[in-house]
Order: sequence, then C-alpha cells, then structure tokens
Amino acid sequence: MIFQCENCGGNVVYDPEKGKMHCPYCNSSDSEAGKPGVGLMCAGCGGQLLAGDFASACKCSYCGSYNIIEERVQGEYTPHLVLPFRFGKKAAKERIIEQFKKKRFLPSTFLSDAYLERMEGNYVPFFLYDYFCRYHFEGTGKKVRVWTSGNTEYTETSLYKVERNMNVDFSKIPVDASIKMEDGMMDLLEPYDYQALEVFQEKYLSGFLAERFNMDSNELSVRAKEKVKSDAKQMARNTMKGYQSIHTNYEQADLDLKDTQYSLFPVWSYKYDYGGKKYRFHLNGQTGKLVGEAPVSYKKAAIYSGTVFMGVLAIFYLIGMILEVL
Amino acid sequence: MRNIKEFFGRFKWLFLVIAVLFFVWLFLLILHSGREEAVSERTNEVCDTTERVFDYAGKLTDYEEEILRKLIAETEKEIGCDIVLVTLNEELYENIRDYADDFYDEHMFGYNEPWGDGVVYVDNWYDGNVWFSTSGKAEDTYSKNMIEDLIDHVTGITNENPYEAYKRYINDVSAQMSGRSIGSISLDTPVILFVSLLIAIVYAATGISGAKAKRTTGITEYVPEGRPDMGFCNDALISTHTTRRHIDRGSGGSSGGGGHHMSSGGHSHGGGGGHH
Repeated sequence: MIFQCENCGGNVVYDPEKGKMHCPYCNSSDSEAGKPGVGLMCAGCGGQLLAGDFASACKCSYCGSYNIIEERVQGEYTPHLVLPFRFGKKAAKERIIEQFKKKRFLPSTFLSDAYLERMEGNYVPFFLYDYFCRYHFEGTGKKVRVWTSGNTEYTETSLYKVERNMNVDFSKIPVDASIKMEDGMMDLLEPYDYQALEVFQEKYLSGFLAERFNMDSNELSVRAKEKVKSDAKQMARNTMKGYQSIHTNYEQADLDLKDTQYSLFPVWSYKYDYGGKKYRFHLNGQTGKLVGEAPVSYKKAAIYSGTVFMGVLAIFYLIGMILEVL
Repeated sequence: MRNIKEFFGRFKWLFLVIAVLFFVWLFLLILHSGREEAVSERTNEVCDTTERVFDYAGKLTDYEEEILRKLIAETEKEIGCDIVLVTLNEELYENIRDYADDFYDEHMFGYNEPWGDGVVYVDNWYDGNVWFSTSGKAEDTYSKNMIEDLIDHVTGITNENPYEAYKRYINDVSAQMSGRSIGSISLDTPVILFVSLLIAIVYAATGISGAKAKRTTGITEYVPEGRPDMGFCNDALISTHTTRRHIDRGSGGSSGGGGHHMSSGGHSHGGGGGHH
C-alpha cells in the first residue's frame, strides 16, 4: 500500500520533524489516504518492487513512491510497537557532518551532499524481551592491607566468603532481528527512549525502508539471555566492594521469559565504499547516536603530514636564521 | 579546486606563522645590513702566537687546517673569544685538564687580555681523552651540561671524521657564545629533522586513528526499578594472615657539580672532559 494525498494525489510520507504525515508535493499535513497494493507490485504505478525476502517497506524504483508491503506487516508480522523517527534526513546528515568534519584525512567525497543524500532511513526489526532473573553467586574475596612500621613492611591478607542472591526484573531488552544489520553496531546504537514507543501504525513506515523480522524470537533469545546474565553478574559485582580479587566458586542465573514484543526501531544508514573497503555508518534515528569508523585517504594523509613536516622544518630554520641575524 | 581550498584552509595558520617569521627575518636582515656588527677589536697584544690550530697529532690535512683557521678567525670576531684547537698523540705525564689550562696560560690566550676570554679544546689521540677548557666570559657562559653536550657532540664523530668534529667544536662555541642556541639544544640539522619528523608522525597518527563508538547503556538500563532486589548478601571472614618484610634503606646518591678550578699558573678555568 501507499499513502496518497487526498489533495494532490502525491505520495504522503511521515515527517519526523513535524511528527505527522506530510505531502512533500502540496505541503499538506495529515491528508493521507491508504491505497492498497497487490503483492510485490507498486500501489502507485504497478511496477515490480525490489523487496527481497524481508523488506516490509521500500521505495518503488520506477515512480519513487514509498510502498508498505501489507502481508509483511500483518498477521504474525504485525509489530507490537514502533519507535517513530525523530531525526529527519537533513538532521541526520548534519549529525554526520558534525561528527566527522574535524577528521583530517577524510576522502573529499565522504561529507559531500551528493554522497550523504544516499542515506536511507530504515525501520530495523527488534524483539524486546522481558526476563525475570534469579542470580546466585558464591566466591572467595581477597583483601590486602599493607603498612610500614620502622624498617618492617607488614602485609595482611584476609579471605572472605562472598555470597549474593538477587532478583532482577529486566524489561524490553532489545535484540535486532535483521541479518543485514551487524549485531555489534546495533548494540552500540542503544539506548532508545522507550517513552516514545507507539502502537504500530503503517503510516510511520511511509517515507522509509523497513524489514520484517528475519529470525524468530526463540532464535534470538540467546543474545537477550547473554545480555541479561552479563548485566546481572555486573550488578552483583558492583556490590562486592573493597576486594583486591574475587574468585568465583559457584554462579547460577535462572531466567524466566515473561514477555516478548516485536518492534521496529529507527536507524539511518550511510554506505560509503572507498579504497576497496565498505564503510557502514548507522545513526540512531531517535537519539542521533552515530556508530561507524571514518574512512582515511592515505594520499591526503601523506600530503598533509608532508606539509606539516616541511612547515615545521621551515619554522625551525627561520628561527635559526633570525637568531643568527640577532 | 575544492581540495586546494581545503588544503589552504587547513594550513592557513602554519603558512601564516612561516610568512610572519620570514618577514621578521627579512626585516632584521635589512636592519642589520646597514651597519656592521659592533665587534670590539682584539685587545690582547701579549699573546705569543697568532696560530689557533695546533695539529700535533697530524689528523688534519693542510687544506682542512686552513679552513679551520679561517672559520676560527671569523668566529673570534663575532663572539669576542679566542678559540684554540690542539691535537696530540702522546702519553701525557700530567692531567689533560692541566695540560689544556697550561697551554692556554703559557701562550697567554684571551681575546680581551692575556688569560682572558677564550676556549681551548685538547684532543689526545694517544688515549682518546679530550678536554674543553674555558676562560673569562666563556667560563661564565658554559655550564656543566653545556660542556657535556659539546663534548658529546664533538666526540661522537671524532674517530670517523676529525675535521668535521673540530668544525662542530668551533660552530658549537660560536652558537653558544652568540646565543644562537635554544637552551642547550643547538639548531643542528639532525635535531631539527628529527623534531619535525616526530611532529609530522604524531600529526599523521592522531589523524588516522579514530575514536570508536562506546556502549552508552548502563547495566541497569533495562531494569525499571533501577537496581536489583538483593535477597541475600553475605561477606564472612574466613582467615587472615600477616607477613612481614625487612626494608633495606640504602643511602641515597648525590650528584656533584663541576664548576671552576685554578690552573697551576693561578688563573681561573672552567671545563670538562670526555673520551672518544
């Protein structure tokens, strides 16, 4: 389906800055009317949509309309929640420029508008897990005290039996369900502001790309459990103060899955290929947090560093020449 | 075009500093070109020789000796100090320091007066010992560190190239006595090259390395209560034991300074020695 403007018939998209549907053609707001499509055909022009196996929203390569593929957002694929984009494309571009403009050896095209315009807004599928965790720890802690009296140094070593039992209620631990998005980068984009979570509505997808989940929640629960165990362990460790070292004798984390919700989170993606290497940048479409390593133009690095070398050399020689005259 | 603009934009301060220094140098050059450096004339008429290069060890060619003599003559006028070079290849029956001081005193060197402003560098190839003796205002100028720097600088290449080493001696004295050195670092090409290269490497390294994104979620990010419900928390002492160790407090070292001494002729000298 696509959202069409009731006033001009143009493709209405969701505007993150305004927080409402907007027609870029006639500038109307909230003038949308859903026009259903058929299968993987564009609801605007009837062209074939290049949606792959997982895309639930895509742009028609013929007419440029943003289509939502209904069967991929309905039934078992209906997201429970969605975090609408808060950063629009312009703001996302500015955020990237702000982050990288001071980098010395960027390829000159990296921050050019022509390249940044390629940025795509994606709704990435996430599962949000609620876990109840019972954590038990037994270990031996060592405290060492050193003091000096006269010409003698004393070292007192004390061993303690350390026990912790605690319950932790985890809520909405996010795990991305997209194969094409790298897990490590998605984890770094956290946190998201859950206060802004909305009940899913198809209109939020208009103007962006989206995917349905690529893997089911059972498969991905392993990653959620790892996060829960790691955080619970660290919470317990934080209560063990003053020990120089702690040896673990026994550790157990029992998890009860309370709930799983399927959600879509907003991510801006910028793909930049340079020097045979693929650079990927992702920006949290809600908070603006940016993840990705800047490319380096080694030609520029050589020219700039050579200039610094020659410049410093010239300064030293000029100082020497001035001192000589003096 | 865009790259050129970016290049000049990035290095505008560097180019500006170079331009300012260049114009300062040009200005000073024009300012000084009108008048000759006010150098006081040599006033020591008692000195028994006009020779400055005593190559008893025969380490220099006649041509090299001549160049060194010319360099010394020019430098002496600039800095107002006698500069003497002595090479030996014999077993000395006295301390090399006393030999250097006595050599200076016996010939009554000194730019302003006998036993006055000047330096002598004695290099004995028989045992590799060297001594740099200072007198008058050179004695006041040269600190222990400065002397050590000069000795290191000169002896570093003496075996490979005595001529270059002795030229270094003259140039170092010239730079130090005329104040053309920054602290104890003289503006030598290798030093300048090394420092410039180091700065360029640091510039390149800091430009290439990029700060990676960090995890910005705390461990309680997904815990609505903000903290765990601690059911049981126990820290029970199992055992304690104490070890003791005797501390050996050795006496601390102290460093002494060089300073001034009197030659056998009763004249004050400074200086320091080394080996090559």
